[in-house]
Amino acid sequence: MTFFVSHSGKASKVAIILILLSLGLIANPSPAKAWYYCGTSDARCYGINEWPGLQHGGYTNLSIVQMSSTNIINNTIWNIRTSGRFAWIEVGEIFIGGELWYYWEYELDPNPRIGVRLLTRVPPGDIGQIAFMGTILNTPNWSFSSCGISTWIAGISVPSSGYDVNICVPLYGFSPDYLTIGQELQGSSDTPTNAPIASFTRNKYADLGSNQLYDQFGIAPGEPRSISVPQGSPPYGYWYTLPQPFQTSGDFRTYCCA
Amino acid sequence: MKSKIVLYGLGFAVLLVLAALALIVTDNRKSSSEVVPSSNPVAPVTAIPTVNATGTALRGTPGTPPPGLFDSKTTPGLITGMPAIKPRLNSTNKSTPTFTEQDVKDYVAAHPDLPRTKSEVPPTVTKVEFITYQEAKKREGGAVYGKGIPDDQLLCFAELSGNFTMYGPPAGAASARKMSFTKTTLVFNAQTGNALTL
Repeated sequence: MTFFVSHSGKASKVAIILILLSLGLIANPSPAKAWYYCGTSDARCYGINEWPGLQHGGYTNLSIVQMSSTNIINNTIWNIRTSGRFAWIEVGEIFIGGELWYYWEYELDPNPRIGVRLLTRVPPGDIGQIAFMGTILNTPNWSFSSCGISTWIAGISVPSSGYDVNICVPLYGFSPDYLTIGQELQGSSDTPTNAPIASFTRNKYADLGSNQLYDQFGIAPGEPRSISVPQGSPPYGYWYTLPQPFQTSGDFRTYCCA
Repeated sequence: MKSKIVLYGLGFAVLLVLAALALIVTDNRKSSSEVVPSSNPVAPVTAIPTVNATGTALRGTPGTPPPGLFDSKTTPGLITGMPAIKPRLNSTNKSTPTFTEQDVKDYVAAHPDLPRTKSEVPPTVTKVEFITYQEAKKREGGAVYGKGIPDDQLLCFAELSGNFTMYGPPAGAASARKMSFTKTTLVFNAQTGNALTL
């Protein structure tokens, strides 16, 4: 293997770093942050990891687990836009209405709610298997034939069961500034819920400039591997394996609620 | 005072960029690229990489998505939905509904709680339409179920009115964002009565 780089002088490296520092004053690419949040009045709690920064989508390999709840729980990848009109698109597995489903959803504030869109029940054979799932902006670079250029595509692919679906999402001009993975729980702390450990690996993002997929950034130096969650306030999210530059994009895990 | 600080900041950024460009020009005159062995299979550095606080490139090798993830041939008819409205009319084809507008109203009256949305008052059904998925795609601006639903499949769109609130996912320091609205839509398969949205 070879690594091509102009290392003829330190000046180039210094220059590149200076440029990046300068650009950082305007658009600082931030590292990931694993965190816990709970507090909306409709009692939704999150054990998630988020990567701030503009991107055009991404995907993760999610290990499918058999979840159950008297309310709603889901393992999900979100693309979120916080600037301008708040909007997001999400895809994942969800326990809802007493069953486990693959689903997707997008919402665009202040448009009327679209709601959870059911795709198909998770086949029993998928439990314990890896599902690829994510969203991406269909640029001329990709030219995926399943949807038009400039639309977003949500996809789930479970090779073990042959389940494979693409959804064309009419979110024109959608520029998300957060890519988030993790678990969302709806319900109070005494909501009977069970979700075995699920794993998010091969976490990729679609780069805004190059339209290529890259491993997600490492988390910031000093960033905690696990997050402090108040007792009785699940769900839980933590880095089982931290992302390492040029090696892995980490192994983020979620579970609920013991 | 604030604007002065911003101006100074921008000026500093511009100066840094100019200084960096000057260094690159000088350096390029001095030497050419070399090949450095490495255990990491990475592409030639042709663009500014994303860096961490120490300036180390983190982005790695560009890749492509798993085959089929964004470009699959979705199985027609894969999207079945969850049992909701009980069919009570005879229908042998996809273009004839098995329930009526009143059935939709009765269903919503019996199931006023939307899973991820709160309504201060029970929602009321203000419009019911039976249209094909082909028509729905035009309305929604995209093939929102890909090929998972046949184009000639009749769907039922029920418009609900009420005082709704729902929360979007949290991001950064911001908490989950609350959204308020007065209309929402439920979608059913007009043949099976199954709910496609919740």
